[in-house]
Amino acid sequence: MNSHLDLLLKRFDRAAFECEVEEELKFHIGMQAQAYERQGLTPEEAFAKAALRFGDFTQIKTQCIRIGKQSGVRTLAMRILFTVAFLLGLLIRISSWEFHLTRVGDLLIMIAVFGSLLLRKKKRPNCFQCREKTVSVGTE
Amino acid sequence: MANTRTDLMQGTLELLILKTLTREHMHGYGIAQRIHEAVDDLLKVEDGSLYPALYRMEKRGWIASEWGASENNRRAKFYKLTRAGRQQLSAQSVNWERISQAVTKVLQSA
Repeated sequence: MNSHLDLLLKRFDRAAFECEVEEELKFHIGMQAQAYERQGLTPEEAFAKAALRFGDFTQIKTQCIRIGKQSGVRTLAMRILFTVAFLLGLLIRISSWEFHLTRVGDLLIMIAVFGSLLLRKKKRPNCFQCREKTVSVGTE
Repeated sequence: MANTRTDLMQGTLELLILKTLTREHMHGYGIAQRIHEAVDDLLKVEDGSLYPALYRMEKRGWIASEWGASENNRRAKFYKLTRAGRQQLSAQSVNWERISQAVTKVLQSA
């Protein structure tokens, strides 16, 4: 639960999140460059080869940031909405003795509970059927 | 030598990542290395393509990440499999087996 909260909070701190993505990708290239250096390449050659092997750094970074932000904002907004609905429903249910109002409270609670469940069980596309997004691989 | 490029479906890379993370939590570079070793250079997965997949998987709750110290004492982001990720791994493995068997059957019958 805490890790989810951390993740969401991080996504809201735009600059920090972008820095983290960049740091992670640079770490990968740095490690690969070290491996090439151990194979006898000069630091410059090793870095160039590692960067080439990694692919388009800017494009990958942008893609990661976009994915990260989408998830954070949307999920947090939905969770806040359902939490507010639940609390409001509970408040109406507790404080009101009128039949109609208690029904409204029940309805809000039900919407919040089902909404939260739907958020958890949100249907994911079958990955093997995702035709539009592919990852390039090759054999040499 | 000719460079034969093939399009590997997105889910395949995710399956490889999920399987790699079953043993231990790892950083992205470690995952890439482990996959390269496992596929024995039969498939060449582009290193950079791993990261959008990792972010997508984290978004779906299949993996979780935290920053820690790497083997050379540098700050690195480590990924671990979640319970949802384990469930996804078994579901995807079954699916992969089914597709693989179906394709093999068609190829053998032709």
